[in-house]
Amino acid sequence: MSDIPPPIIVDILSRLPVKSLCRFRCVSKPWLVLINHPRFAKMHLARTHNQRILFHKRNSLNSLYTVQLETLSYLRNSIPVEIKLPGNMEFDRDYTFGHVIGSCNGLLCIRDVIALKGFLLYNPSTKECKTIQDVIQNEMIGFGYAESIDDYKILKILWAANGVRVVKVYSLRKDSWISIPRDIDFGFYASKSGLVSVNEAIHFVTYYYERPTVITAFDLVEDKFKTIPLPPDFMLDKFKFSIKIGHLGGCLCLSIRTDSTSKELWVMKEELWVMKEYGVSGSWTKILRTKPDDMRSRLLFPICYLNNNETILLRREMTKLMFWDSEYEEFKNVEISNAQDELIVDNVYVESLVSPNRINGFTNEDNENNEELLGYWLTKKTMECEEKNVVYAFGPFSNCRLDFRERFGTNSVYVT
Amino acid sequence: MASSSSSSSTQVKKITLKAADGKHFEVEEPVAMEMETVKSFFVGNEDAMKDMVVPLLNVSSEHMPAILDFYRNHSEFRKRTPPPPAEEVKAFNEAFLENKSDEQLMEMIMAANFLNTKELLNFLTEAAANRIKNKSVEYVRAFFGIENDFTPEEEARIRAENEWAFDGLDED
Repeated sequence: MSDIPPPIIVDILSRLPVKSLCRFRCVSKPWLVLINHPRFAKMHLARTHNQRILFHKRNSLNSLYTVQLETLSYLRNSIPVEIKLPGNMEFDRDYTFGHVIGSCNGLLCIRDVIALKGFLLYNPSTKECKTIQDVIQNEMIGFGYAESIDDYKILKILWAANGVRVVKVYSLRKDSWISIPRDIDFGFYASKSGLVSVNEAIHFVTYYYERPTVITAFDLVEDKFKTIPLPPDFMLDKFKFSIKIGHLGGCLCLSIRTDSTSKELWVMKEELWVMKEYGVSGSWTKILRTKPDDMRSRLLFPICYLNNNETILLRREMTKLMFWDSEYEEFKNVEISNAQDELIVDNVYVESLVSPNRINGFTNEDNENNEELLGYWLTKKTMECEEKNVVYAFGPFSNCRLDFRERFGTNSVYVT
Repeated sequence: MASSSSSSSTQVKKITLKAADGKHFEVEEPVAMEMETVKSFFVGNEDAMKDMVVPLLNVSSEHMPAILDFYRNHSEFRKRTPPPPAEEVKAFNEAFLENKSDEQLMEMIMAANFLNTKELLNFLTEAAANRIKNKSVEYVRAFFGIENDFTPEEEARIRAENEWAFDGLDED
């Protein structure tokens, strides 16, 4: 049966879970080369979306916990799986909150790990990791991916009482840090946690004394700051207790607590806004508003959409998960089996093959004959990237995108 | 459930397909046109070639009835309003794969690839992925007919590096 065309094998493999693919590296040399290739990792990522919710426990210094998004339910408990940090690493006990800065394409960016001056890029699905040397200081940190330059970057802003001192950016592709000019007014305060990466930029809310609050964005392609407007007239109507920035379905979103008095009663409301068209102020849309008397809906923060795009998974008060059904406008508690300590909700990530060490192609440790073995997969040159309706030619030196029709045209039908 | 509405309406045009082993199949035109390979055979020659037999070099007659059944049912699913319940489509798909050996599945994948029908090919490659996802390396080699070209030392090293991925496999 070895006459199966390589593109069909590639198609089947791109549908497998990451764990299966890690095991199937042992099948043969061409399979090892394919599964390790960054372009196959992208193709796989475009096709499979196994998302997992990430948690940590206050007293667990060497582990994170995850639950598959699909298994979450309000009817029964989901049981978290423990994932150990690589190489006996441990979190620094002094920082018990927010070790995971962000996740992009299955890579987690982790800080405050003992014996590691700097950051850890970790793919929990493949167990691959890379350490990035740096000196940790009091700072704002963001992690993001820029698809157009295929690079992962860490943004670091050193913040002092009198304003921003230094801005630095790490590029995984270049494996080095650069300094960025401070060409923007950072105001008097910026939220230091929860920097959000969407649309090739890292975002945070910035407050000024006599100007409207804005979202500051660091463009990961241009390495420059820009501002993104909040909803029009946003700050005028009522006092906003807190504004938290997040992302939902690839869009920026805001979780806002509003304080007002009605009939001499103090009322706290929470709203969720989504910026449907990136950078367009008028596209901010309110998608959720809690009832003032609903005690279940306090300190909400969106995590992600479920597969039906009508249910939103939300975090409540750091440790609880809820579904918001937008059709019936109701909340449902999500049950997580929680034997000892409280699980603190960190993040959502996708299972992927993306390697922090192979972003530029193969590493020196990979087999020397890799380029030669790629020839096996090059025999029928094309790899379909279904979701985007484009085809990536597969190989280290080819970077052309073929029209979908060329792949499925009559000329490429396999006739033996 | 599969209706034979053709009897009541006007005569539906048939196209004759010839499987790899020479056996002929008379197929309603809309069903035949689900296959891009058949469709492209007639492009520009709609009238001149209407009586021709279309040779399908890579499809054995063993799989033709099942494949045609898939096209008939799925094109009916697509046309139906309201769309059929997910359970009905799932039940059909499961029945389609029931009792098919790995070898038969791969042969049908090759046939779907040759016939150039994306829906059937996607469905079958997804089925193949589901079959192998919890299987051993040895099973997968046999499934695809792949020769192990690692030395024992190389294989042992890669196995050790990915040891955690060998937990909880199904039996072969």
